[in-house]
Amino acid sequence: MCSVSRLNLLGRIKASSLLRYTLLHTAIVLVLCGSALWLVKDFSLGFYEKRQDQFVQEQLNSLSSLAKSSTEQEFRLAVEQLAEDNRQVLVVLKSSDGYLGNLNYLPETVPLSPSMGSFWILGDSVLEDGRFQRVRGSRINSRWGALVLAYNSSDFNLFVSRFTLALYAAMVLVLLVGLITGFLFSRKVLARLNTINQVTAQVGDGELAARVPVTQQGDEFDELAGHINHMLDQIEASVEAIASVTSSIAHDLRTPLSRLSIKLDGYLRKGSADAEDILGAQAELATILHTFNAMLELTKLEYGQGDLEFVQCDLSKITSEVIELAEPLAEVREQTLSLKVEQALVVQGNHQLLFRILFNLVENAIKYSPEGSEVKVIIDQSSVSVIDQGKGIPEAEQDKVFQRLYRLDQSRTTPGHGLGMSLVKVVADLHGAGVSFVRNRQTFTVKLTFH
Amino acid sequence: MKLLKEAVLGLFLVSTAALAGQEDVLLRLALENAKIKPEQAIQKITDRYSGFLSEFGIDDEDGSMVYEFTIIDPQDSVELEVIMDADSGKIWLDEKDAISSNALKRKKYQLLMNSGMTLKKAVDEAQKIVPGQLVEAELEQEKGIVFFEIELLTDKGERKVIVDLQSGKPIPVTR
Repeated sequence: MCSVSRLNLLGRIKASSLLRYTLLHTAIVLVLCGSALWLVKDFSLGFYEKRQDQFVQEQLNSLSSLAKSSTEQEFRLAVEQLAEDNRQVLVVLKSSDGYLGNLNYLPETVPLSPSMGSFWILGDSVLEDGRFQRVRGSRINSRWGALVLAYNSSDFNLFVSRFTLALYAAMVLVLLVGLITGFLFSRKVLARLNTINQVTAQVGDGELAARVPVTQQGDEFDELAGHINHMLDQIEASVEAIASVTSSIAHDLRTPLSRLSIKLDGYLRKGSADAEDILGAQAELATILHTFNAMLELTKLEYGQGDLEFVQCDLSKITSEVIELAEPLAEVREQTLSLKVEQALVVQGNHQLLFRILFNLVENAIKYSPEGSEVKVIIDQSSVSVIDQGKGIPEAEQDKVFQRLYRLDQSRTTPGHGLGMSLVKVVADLHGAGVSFVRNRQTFTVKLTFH
Repeated sequence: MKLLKEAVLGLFLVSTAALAGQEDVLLRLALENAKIKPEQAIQKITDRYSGFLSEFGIDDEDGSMVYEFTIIDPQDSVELEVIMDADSGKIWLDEKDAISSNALKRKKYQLLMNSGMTLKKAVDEAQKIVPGQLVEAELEQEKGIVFFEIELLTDKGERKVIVDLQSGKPIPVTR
């Protein structure tokens, strides 16, 4: 078995769902936050940029029409005026005798209106690193020379850079918070899985009594814990039953086997064995074989091995055959044996098996009730009841009598194999019938109810 | 020189040029009187040294005007500071610093060596848009832009022109 604990630490971290869930959670949070911030940026800054482009185009349009209607002198004055009046406007006119406006050069790369292009300028920014600014502008070729107009967005650029910085800071914060919460959340969930893991590992190592703690929350983990605990209860019960059956087998077989051994020793000492001796030994062997066969048969019946013939069975008819066979036993104990059929009961079943379990029940009634008492069998529309006047089965042991080789008599001296009631139970199950016990003041009833 | 200073003082007291600042006036007079003009000095230095000129400046040394040059010589991995007397044309080495090969790999020096743009060409470009007397030129890098920052002395005072090494064209400066 490859235990997780044998892997190295790094391997464990990699294999653990904790890391994967934490990262997944963080990634989701990051994507969501990133999209939200991107939308905010696009809507606010993008909108502002469009407004700037619009402004540039409007200014260029009016300059363009002015150039058509004015003299060169008037146009130059208008450009100078615009450059001086409006801090937002960057304008440069390339005239025959140099550059006019508030820029000292006309960048040739700027596209013609209405296209917009961006270019570098060296501005007068308050910030050390803000001397160079990227601005957006457009160009017209008027009859008085080429003109480029741009929006002086140094303030805006500063705002954008601050905004972007805030954006990244927010993302880093989200990343950190996401990692921490993701880690805590995943750890909490996985801690509970770990307790379940540990318990199952303990059980795997043989500690059958270990149980998963169940909290008060009643969530899926508690449900899982409940199922696991139930399963462990079942396993523990099965293991106990096997242990008990094993010791019972050992006990039941030891007595006849040791008797056989003693007998054979005696024959050896005597130097010979007559027919009677051999018959005695054979009888011991027969007892042992009978026990084995009975157990094998039970197992076969229980696990549905072998083909069983199911036919319509009249239970009153079977019961009268049983009573006929048991009559001599009752006579020995001076008991009266009677059958009362209140209503005929016909079921789908195996005649031979039904006969055997009814015989078992009647035989038990005869065996365990006092001499001279009365054993009655009553058949009604759905059940067969065997009523005797014995002391019956104590309530605490009523479940256990169906176990293999279980004996009410703990000394195991009363003759029997402790398999009779087991057979009753198995056959009743095969026929979809239930077995119940009813204790009255003077009588004890075993009732087979067919559904 | 004494005569010059007296003349300057006289000018300073009466001239409206005082508005442009005393320094500018001094510099203009000094340049007008210099036997070797800055453009000629640059030509001499370029002829004499094999490296790339990265800086030009004007200074005063013991009362006489001198030109200062910085030359990057990638072959010997050195940065030379050379001084030329504006009157006699005498040239001498002021400082010689080693430049590591890593520093030479920086964008600033790579563009200086490979863009084909020289300090001389940059000054020509600058004087096309701002007619004026060269006073200072310096190789700089900001925001990934490598450029010559050139100061020209005009009638209205000193003017700054930026020439981008990548495009070989000026970058507009607000005024």
